[in-house]
Amino acid sequence: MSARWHGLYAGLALRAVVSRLREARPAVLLLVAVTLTGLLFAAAPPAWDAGVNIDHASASPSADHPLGADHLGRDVALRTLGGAAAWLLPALLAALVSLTFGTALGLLLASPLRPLARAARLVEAVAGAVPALVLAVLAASITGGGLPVIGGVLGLGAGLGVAAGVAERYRELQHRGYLDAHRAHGTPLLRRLLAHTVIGHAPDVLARGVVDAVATVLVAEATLSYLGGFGTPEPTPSWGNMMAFEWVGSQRLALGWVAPLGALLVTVTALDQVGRSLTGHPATSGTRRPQVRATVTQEDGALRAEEICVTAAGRTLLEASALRLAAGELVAVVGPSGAGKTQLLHAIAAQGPTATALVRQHAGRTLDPLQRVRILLQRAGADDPARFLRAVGLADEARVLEAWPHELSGGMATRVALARELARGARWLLVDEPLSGLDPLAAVPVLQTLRGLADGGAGVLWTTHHLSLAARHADRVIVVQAGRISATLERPFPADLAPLLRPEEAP
Amino acid sequence: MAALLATAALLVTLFHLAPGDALASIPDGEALRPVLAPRWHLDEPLGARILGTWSSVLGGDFGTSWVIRPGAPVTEMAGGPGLATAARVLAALALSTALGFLRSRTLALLSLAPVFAAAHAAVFSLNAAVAWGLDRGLWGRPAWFALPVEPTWEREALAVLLLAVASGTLATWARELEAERARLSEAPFLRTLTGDGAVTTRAMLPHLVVPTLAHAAARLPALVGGAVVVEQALLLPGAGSLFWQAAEARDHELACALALAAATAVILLRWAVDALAMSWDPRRRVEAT
Repeated sequence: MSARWHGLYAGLALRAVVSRLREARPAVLLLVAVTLTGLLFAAAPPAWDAGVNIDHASASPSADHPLGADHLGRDVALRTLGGAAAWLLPALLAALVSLTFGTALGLLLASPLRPLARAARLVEAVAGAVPALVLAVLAASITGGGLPVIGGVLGLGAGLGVAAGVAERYRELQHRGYLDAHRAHGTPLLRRLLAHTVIGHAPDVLARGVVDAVATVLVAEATLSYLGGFGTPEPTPSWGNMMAFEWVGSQRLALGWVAPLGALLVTVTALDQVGRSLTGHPATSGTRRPQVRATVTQEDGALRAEEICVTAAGRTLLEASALRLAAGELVAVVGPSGAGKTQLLHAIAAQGPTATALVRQHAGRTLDPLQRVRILLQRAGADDPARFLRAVGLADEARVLEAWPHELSGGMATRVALARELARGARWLLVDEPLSGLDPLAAVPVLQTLRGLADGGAGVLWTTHHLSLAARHADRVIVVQAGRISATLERPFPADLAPLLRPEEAP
Repeated sequence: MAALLATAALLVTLFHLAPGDALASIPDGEALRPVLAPRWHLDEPLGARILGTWSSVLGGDFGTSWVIRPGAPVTEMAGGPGLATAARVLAALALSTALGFLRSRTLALLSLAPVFAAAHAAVFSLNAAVAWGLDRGLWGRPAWFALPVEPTWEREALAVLLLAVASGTLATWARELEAERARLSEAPFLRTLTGDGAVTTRAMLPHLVVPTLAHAAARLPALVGGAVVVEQALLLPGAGSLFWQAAEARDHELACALALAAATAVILLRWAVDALAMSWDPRRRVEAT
């Protein structure tokens, strides 16, 4: 059973990786070719110090030297291919260190055991504080270990990215109750962690742990070899030391640096492509906004909306011939979820006169989180912000004025959003689901506020799922079903509005 | 402070784990043995060495150069170069932030370091072109061209540009800024500012302060690492090139002290950024409690 599940998880992870890599097929093929070349040269390196031939110094490309010769007459093509071996082994070491260190640190970071999590955070802070390249050079200097040590240390740096991804994934699964559900089913802890947090997240772990580590080591090796000291020493070729050698040694424009530079650019770009396809970063696609068409006029103390039509991606979301909202009137819009209530309000707000204001659902999110309520209202044009708070029934205005938006309850946030619209001079208030997420006690003051605003001369249109509250407080009820206004009810309302929401009962 | 002390312990541990006799790798190491063996607590266990280092650092003794300038305190050697490097790093951060606002897709593509190699290729090509012109007597040698001992503003500018581009700071910031703009353009609190739901750059600016600070803190280690390479490549005096020389010459005490200074700078900047972000965004104060 256990082996079967492990096989299933591994198969799913492999499938996810392969399917994402399909988008970067040329880059993958190129990297495979470079890796095989590097392994071949690492396994059987030629005698690099034997190719000096001054007669061919800086020779142009020919049959003998397809990419020309460097200023010591050595074949550039062969040395460029051999350069793939210089960074390959440190890169593989870095990938190994990055995956193991990163996975372990990530799991510890997300661990529910606080001392472990704290210790992991300290390790993360230290590993992130010392620049990876500085630590790698220092380690190479102290140990005299050269490129393998540099690769290992750079792997630790890349492992921080893996750790962040694994910890984030773990917390997300924990938050969704996914891991607890598996614990209830008796799945062992280690399998829960590895299967869901690491293997189930394989493309991202590979992108951060392998691709980033390899790219970092490739560039670091080339850079260190370019600068000398800690890189690959001559005569063994490295793309970095080939460029440096040609620059220092040549008194004329030579071709010896073009090939290694090209190899470096192409390999790094291929790694970048593979990393992007693994993390699934497609080209950004803009959000398609619905197309709104409506004629909204304000005459004889009423707001009239006609020929309302909302479409998105060729589909009609809402079509309504006419809707009237009188000043001093409180009109409820009811209907099932997805019927078009919100679209109706958005359409009227988009085409309405300047005195029309839309207060969105979850109004707290529409308040600027960086401004206190006083500033919010003043910026909306309120000379006396407290007056507008009193108008929406917020009695403790001194406290509310100095509050930050995140300190307001849902009902208070809705009323502050209403106050802001009043301060902007709104006469027609379109309020989308103001009772959403509020308990019955918190809903009452919001409804009283809407009633008070209507009694004060504003026209208020509000959407709700609370049929009984709509029947109790509204002057009229508009029923929206399947993108159409199916009924408009005047007082006295039927005792039970619910049947109106069933298709067969709709008039 | 815990992170700083842990960093010092990490460097001592690295030293402790190095194979062979640490003094054997230093030029004149045997001559310096009577001085350095007790100073580095060579005959003591790892714990005692870490405690000894902590006590030195907390006492203000950040070490001494024993190879490049024997007997010179690190604080005396690293002060001026450290300021020069800090100025370059800050200039690179400012440049990447300013250019990041251009919303250029090309900038976002400047990922990883092919650009670093390309920049060197550009310098090489320039070098070759000037040499070609000099050979033919077409022009005289520009004062900034040959690598002089004293830095020139042209090389300083090139260093800042290279640092911003090659460390990936510019590319990551261009991408992050674009993602942040996309997120903010959908934010209800900004879309309700105007009747038509349009979100202006000016309205976004206050909300970009914290991401900008976070970006600066996140990129600092890469920039400091990049400064080592760029300063050495362009022969500019600074803490980066001093570190490189110390590492090459196996002046371990100087190199470790400079690495510790870099880590301290990163930790302090992150702390300052956290404090600034907390004072800017009231929600962070709630999260912190």
